[in-house]
Formats: sequence, structure tokens, C-alpha cells
Amino acid sequence: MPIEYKKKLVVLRDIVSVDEAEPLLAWLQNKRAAKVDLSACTHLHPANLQVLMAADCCITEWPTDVGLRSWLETAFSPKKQEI
Amino acid sequence: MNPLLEQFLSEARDFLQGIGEELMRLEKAPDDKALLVSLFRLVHTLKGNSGLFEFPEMTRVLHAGEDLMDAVRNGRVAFTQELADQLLDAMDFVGMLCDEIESGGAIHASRAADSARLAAALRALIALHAVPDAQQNCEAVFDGATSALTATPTPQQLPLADIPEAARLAAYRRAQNGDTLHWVAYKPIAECFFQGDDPFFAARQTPDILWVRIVPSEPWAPLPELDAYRCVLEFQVLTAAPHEALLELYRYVPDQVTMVAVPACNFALPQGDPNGGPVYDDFVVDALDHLDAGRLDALRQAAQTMLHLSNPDLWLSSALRWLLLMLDTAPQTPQALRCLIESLRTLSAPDWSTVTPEQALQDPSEAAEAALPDTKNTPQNAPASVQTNAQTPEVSALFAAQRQILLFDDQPAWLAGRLRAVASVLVNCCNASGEVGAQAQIEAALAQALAQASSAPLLAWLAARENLAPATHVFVVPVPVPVQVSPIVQAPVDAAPADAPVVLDDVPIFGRRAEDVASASTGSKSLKVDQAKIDLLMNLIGEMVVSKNALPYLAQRAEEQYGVRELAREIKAQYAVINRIAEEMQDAIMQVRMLPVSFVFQRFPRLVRDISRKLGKEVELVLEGEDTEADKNIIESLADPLIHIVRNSLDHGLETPDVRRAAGKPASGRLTIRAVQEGDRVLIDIIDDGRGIDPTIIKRKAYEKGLIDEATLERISDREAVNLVFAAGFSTAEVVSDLSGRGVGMDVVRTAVEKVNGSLTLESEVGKGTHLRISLPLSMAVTNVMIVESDGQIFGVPMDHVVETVRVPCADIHTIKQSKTAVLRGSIVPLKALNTLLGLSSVARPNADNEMAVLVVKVGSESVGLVVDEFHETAEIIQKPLAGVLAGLGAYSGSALMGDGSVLMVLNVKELV
Repeated sequence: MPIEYKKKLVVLRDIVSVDEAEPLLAWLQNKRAAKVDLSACTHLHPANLQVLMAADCCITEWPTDVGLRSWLETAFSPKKQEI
Repeated sequence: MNPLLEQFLSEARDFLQGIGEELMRLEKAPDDKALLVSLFRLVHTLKGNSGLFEFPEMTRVLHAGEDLMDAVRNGRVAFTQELADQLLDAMDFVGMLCDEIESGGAIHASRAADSARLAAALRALIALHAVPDAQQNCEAVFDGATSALTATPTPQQLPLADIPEAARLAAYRRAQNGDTLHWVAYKPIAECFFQGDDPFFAARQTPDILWVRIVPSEPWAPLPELDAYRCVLEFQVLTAAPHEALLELYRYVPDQVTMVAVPACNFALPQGDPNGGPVYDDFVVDALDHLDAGRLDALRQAAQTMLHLSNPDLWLSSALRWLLLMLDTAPQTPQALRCLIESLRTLSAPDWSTVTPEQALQDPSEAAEAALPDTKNTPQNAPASVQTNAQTPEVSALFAAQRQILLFDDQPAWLAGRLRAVASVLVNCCNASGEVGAQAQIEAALAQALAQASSAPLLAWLAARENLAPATHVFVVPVPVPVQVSPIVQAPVDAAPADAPVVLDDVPIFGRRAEDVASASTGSKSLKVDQAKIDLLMNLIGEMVVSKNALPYLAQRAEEQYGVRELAREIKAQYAVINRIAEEMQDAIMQVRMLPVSFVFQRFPRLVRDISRKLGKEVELVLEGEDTEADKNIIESLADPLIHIVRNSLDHGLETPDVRRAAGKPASGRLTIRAVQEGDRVLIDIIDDGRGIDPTIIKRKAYEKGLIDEATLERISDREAVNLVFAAGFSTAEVVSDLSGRGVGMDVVRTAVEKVNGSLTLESEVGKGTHLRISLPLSMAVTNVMIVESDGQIFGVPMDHVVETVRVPCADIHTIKQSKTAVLRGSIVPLKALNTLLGLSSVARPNADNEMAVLVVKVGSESVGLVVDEFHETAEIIQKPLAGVLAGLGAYSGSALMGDGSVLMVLNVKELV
């Protein structure tokens, strides 16, 4: 599974397709201050990305993929980036 | 190049020609509704055809053209000269794309921008020329058009300050090294996810990325109201990739991407803490002194000292870092340095718009005077009209010099190098004067010029530019530039007429001029011939066969009547030769008309893919015997029925993967389309391994729809029942979908196949699949007929209808009520005398054994016996339709000339009985 929901953490792996956006949004709606682990993620569909951005998620692990990381770091507000 | 594309190109040329002609005629008679409709249809068809291929540039323009024509056709927009011009331009563009496809197999990505602009211009016409009372209707269109026309922002308007200084320093170095940097802002449309796009992925493919950013284009909705599938992201990239690569990458979405070339100095934006305000006057004065005196070393030292003494977070330090970088990389640009130093006085960002790269190279005093306003086309706010700075004397002189060079008519070995040099000068001039779009055009012209080893394309570009430039007024946003604008370039604000055409200054003229010069030599290998000419050949060879067949009669007469045996033999020998040649000739002419079935088949892979995708089914398509050939008419008549059948198979026949798995079949269905030649017929099999047709359902449905009565319902066999699907108005689908279910499909199939003397058989086994076979004649030109005699005349009966010939003793003919019948092989066959049917008064003659000659023919599913006098041989004839007053005679389908010169009337059995 490219996406795994834990208690307060969602782990995104490999390529997260467009179909995951809806469940992801539903999950985030019930979890304030959710954390996101992107370390194994190589690409995520922008639908997922904008859901994460809108929810103002806290990224605990940035992708190891340098290209993706450089994109994503710009998408999330700086206060969350320190972790 | 594949045959489909070849055909498309040849057709597209015809369409373009047609569109051109119609447009010309329309200009003479703008109110001709029929012309308008036919013009619309041409554009519409061409657009549809272009959609078969991956030519988004072409389709986009044609689509806009189609919309415009539709608006004209519905009277929402009045037809004007200008509209015609714009359309013709667009069609020239399409023609040019066709040439490009033909020569290179693909469209260069740089066309995307042209195409988007042309399309926008066409759409703008819909809005601009809207007939007043229809204004409301096209407001939406207008919005779209104007937003599409909103031109790219200038480098000064870009949020470059958002880029961290380190990235900007790197970018500046890259730019000074000769790379052109582009700011790319990709704002996908909100619905893009539904079109299967992944804009993020596309943006990530941008090569040579220096800096990126993702920004939401609107504030986030609260989570419960958020629509995950409405794209609100914007991707911004700073890249050093070449312009072409970017155009290629974003060629499908040119309307959603803004690309701006950013000159190096625009990155030099000092940032930081102002530290109490501008207090560095001393330094500025010193630095300017050094600069004016050309003491760059001293300037560098001063700056380094100053930087050393200052807190690195200060605005001052940032500016000094930039100053040092500039001194290192571009010490020859005193104007830029001055600008940067001056900015220290006010601690406001240096105004790079006063320093274009070109002037930066000039003498500072001159440059200061010639500082130019920007010439981007931005129809926003209060449009002021300013002439393009293309008129600057220096630039004009450069262009003139290039023209001179191009006009040399010698052909030196270094021609290619010279062309490249000229092109690069032109590109540089255009970049310097802000004609951003020109680069791609020049490069295209250069490529063309190199290919033709002639300077014509470049000259054409220059000429086109020259023609447009002097008269052009551009909309320019009053850029807040506190610059010394030289008085020449300031034109009165009201100079532009209120309804100025929305034509941009650098609109190239597609191909028209260039084509006149250069394209004369490109000929095609294949010859396109009007079908009427082939038909004429066919008729002539038919007559020749007939007169050739008269020779044996002549030989016979020579021998029998005149007793010259020798001559008779020679005539026969000659006849043999002529016969062979005539037959070969007939074959050859038939060959001309032959097409392989792949002509129809090649559209199926795509069709099957699209439909199965839509229905969520997995289908494996197998095509066999694609090179089987048949007459053009036959092949063409096959196209529509086949599409219907394939759709039916996909929609009704094949099941979804789940159902298939449950039934123990492989998840992926198999659809086989096979063509084989068998004798003088082509057999097309369409076989699927789907759920098959259930005869009981068919029977019930047919009964419900009133297609069969109760008695038939009881009687008909399963096999016959299955064939009821061909009846008009039959449909098993409960719901009418866009694929099938309207109850016309299979009926249309049957009619179309029967029209070309074909037949259809359908076999189906529930759960196993359906097998549909279409049998078609190879050619319609030659008909096989059986010759019969009645009342001293001969008639032909098409062999397709003949079941058998029998001799029935008069005693076996019974009269039931008024009609005669005979029992043949246990079934009752009604007998009809041909004489009676044709209105001849004489009675059929029995032979010596008192037997009647009965020709049993099949009409639909019934057999009927025709009573005639005598049977003759069968013959291959070339049937001609009856013309003139005879055309009204339904009893005959046509006539043919026999070898001995007699005329054979061919009966139309269906009408007759």
C-alpha cells in the first residue's frame, strides 16, 4: 500500500496515486495536527499534495528523493519544517 | 509514415483548400447560409480528423476555428473580412503544420505558443464581433478569450525577490555564462485531475531546475469543504533549460503556462535589514567616481572593505555582494553597476528595466538616453498605445544589414554558417528589443533555410516582420518605470482606434510567403486521381472486353461464310493476344481500386482501447488478415458497420473482468477481427468470447417490441432468433447509453452490408461468445449472372439470388387458390411466370418432355420459382445502371453488353417478385 494510516501519523510510500486523495482528506478531517512521513515517497499526485497543504500537516520525515524534497519544502509553511 | 497519417495529410490539404475557397466565396456573399454551413462542416471534420493523431497544436487551432464558424453559422457573430483573414491565417498555420508533419513526422514543440495564440485570437473574434443582441451569450467566451490573451508578465513583474539570494546568485552566474533563464509558472486548470493529468509530475520533469516553488493559487478552504480534486496549485520553476525543451514539455498546456525569459541583472535584488535607512552617500559618491574613471579594481576594493565592515544581514551587504559578483562576471557593464550603486542611496531595489542587456554593452552616456520602455503586450487596465521599440534606429540598421547579407545570391560553401550567424543576430536583436516570441520563429525559419540551403525563409520572416512592425500598435501596461523615455517612442494615447484588432505585434504570417518561394519543388510520389476517371477507365475496359469478344464470332464467319480458314486462324491468334492484354488491363484497373482492409482495421485498436477503458473492461484485440484487399467501395462501406459491430461486442458481448473470472474465463476478453479472401468474396469475422446472445431474451424482446407475432415466437429456431438482432428497432439494452442501445445499430449494419451485395450471419452460444461473419463481394464491378430465356428474349439473374434450376413436369404443378405451386424436396415453392411478371403476353413453353424450366431464386428468406422458357450459361458481365427514362423501371437493376453485341437486361429479382 502506498499509504498507511497510523494513530496520528500517515506514511506515504512510493507513488501515491490520485485515488488516495479522497481517503486521505477524510482521514485528515478527523485528525487535527496530523503528522506525515514522506521518507519513502517518490512521487505523490498533486491532489494528495494539496490535501496535505490545506490541512497544514506537519512533515516529520522529508522524502529521501532530493528532487521531490526541494519541491515539497516550498509547499509547507516554515514553522513546521524544523522537525 | 503510417497510411492513416498519409491519408489524413492528403485529406487535410483538400480540406484546407476547400476551406480557403469557401472563405473566398463567402467574402463575396457573406449572407449565404449554405456556404456557412458547409464551411463549418469542413472545419469541423478537419478538426475531428486531426484529433486522431497527437497534434494538439493543430487540433487547438482548428477547434477555435470551429467554434468561431459555429458562432458565425448561428448568427452570433457577423462574418467580416477580418474574420476571414484570421481564419485563413489559421488555416495557413495548419497547412504549415501539415508540411512539417510530412517532412519530419511531428510538429515542433515551439508551435504550441503560436497555436495557442492563434486559437486565442480566433476566440477573441467570437467576442469582439458578436452581434450586439447576442452579447450576453458570449460573455463567457469573452472572458476565456481575454484571459487567454493576457500576455506574459515582464521580468520586472515577477516575484523574483521571493527566491533566496543564494539561488539568485547561482542563477545570475548561469545567465552570465550564456544560459537563458526562464521563469515558468504552471497553473493547471481546476479540472485537470479529471482529465487524468498529473501537473506535479509534469512540473517535476522540467529540466535544469534552479529553483522551484509550489503555491496555492487561492486561500485554502476549511478541510470539511475542501474538494481534493479541484486543483488549486501553481508550480513555479526557475530553469536554465532551453526554450524549446520547455515548449516541448508543456506543449499540451501552453494556455496554462507562462514562460518568461529573465535577463541576468533581474536577479540582482539586494535584500536585508535597511539598518536605519539610507546613510551610505559617501560610499556611493566614491564608488561612482571609481566607476566613471574606469577604476574597477579600486571599486572592488572599496566594496570588499565595506562588506567586511558590515553585518552580513544588512541590505547593504546584500547589495555589495551583488556588486562584487557583477564586477567579477560582467565588468563591462558600467550601466548596470551604476544602477546597483545608485540603489544604495535609497535602499530601494535597483530598477533593472532601465538596463537591458543590449544597452549594458553600450557607452554609458548613450545608454542612459536610449533607455527603453518594455514592450510586452499586456491588454490590461488602461491601455496606452506605444510603438514598439523595434523602430530604434540601431536595431533597424541591424535588421537591414542582415537583410543585405541574406540577399547575396552567391552560394558559398559556408552558406549554412552564414545563415546561422544571421539567425543568431536576429534572435539577439529580438530578445534585446523584447520580441520574445520571435526567437522560435527565427529558429524555425533557420531550420527551414538550412534544409533548403536558401535564405528565403529568413528573408520571408524579415519581410513579415517589416510589414507588421511599422503599423503595429501594441497594448502596453503603463509600467511604473521612472525612466528617461526618449520622446520618439511616446505616442499619443488615443492613437489606437477603439476597436483595434486584437492582433499582437509579432504575429508571424504562417507559410504564405515562405511557401510561395520554396515549396514548389516538393512533389508527392502517389498520384491522387478523381474516382470518376477510374470509373471511366473501368467503363472503357468493359467495352473493350465486349468488342474483343466479338472477334471469335468474326473468325467463325470468316471460316464458315467466306471459307478462308487461314484468316480465321490468324484472327483467333490475334484474339488470344488481345484477350490476354485486355484481361491484364482489367486486372490492373481493378487493382487501382483495391484497398487493403487495414484501411478500416487500423482505427480499431484505438476505438477498442477507448471504449473498453470507458466500460471498465479488459479487451485484447486481435486483428488478422489486414492485407486482404477488396474494392474501394466495398471497403468504405465496411467501415461504419464494423464500428457498430465492434461497439456492440464491447458493450453487450464482453463482460467485465469480475464477471468473466466468476464464469471461469480469463479476465481479459478477446475480440478477434479477421479478414480472409475466399473465392471472389471477402469474409470478415468478428469473434468475441463474451457472454453470447441468449435466444430466449431476444425472442421475448422481439415479441415485446412487436417485431414478431406470437406464432413466430413459438416457431422460430434459436438460430433464427439470434438473427433478429438485425431487425430494425431492436435493442436489448435497458438503458440507452452513448455506446449503444438505440436500436438502430445492427439494423444499420445489415442495410449497409446488403447495399454492397454482402450478407451477414450471426452465430452465438450463450456463455461462450458470438461469431459474426460478413461476406462481401471482392468487387462490385463484375457481376455474375445466370442467363435465362423467356419469350424469345434473354435476361440475366444475379447469381447471388439463384438457388437452383429445376425441370418440373407440368403435371406436378398445382394450383392453390390463384397461384401455382410445386413441391420441391418436400417444401412448397410458389411458382411465378416471368412473362407475367414482366407483362409479356405469351405463355411459358415447356420442353419436349413437357417439363417447365423453373429457376428457384431466394428473396429474403423465401424461395420463389420463376418459370422461364430455357436456361443458358452463366456469364461475368459489367453491369451498367439504366439511365434516362429507363431508370424508372424497377424490374431491372441494369443492363450489360454481351460479346456478340446484344444487350442483356439484368433483372432485379427483389423488386420483381
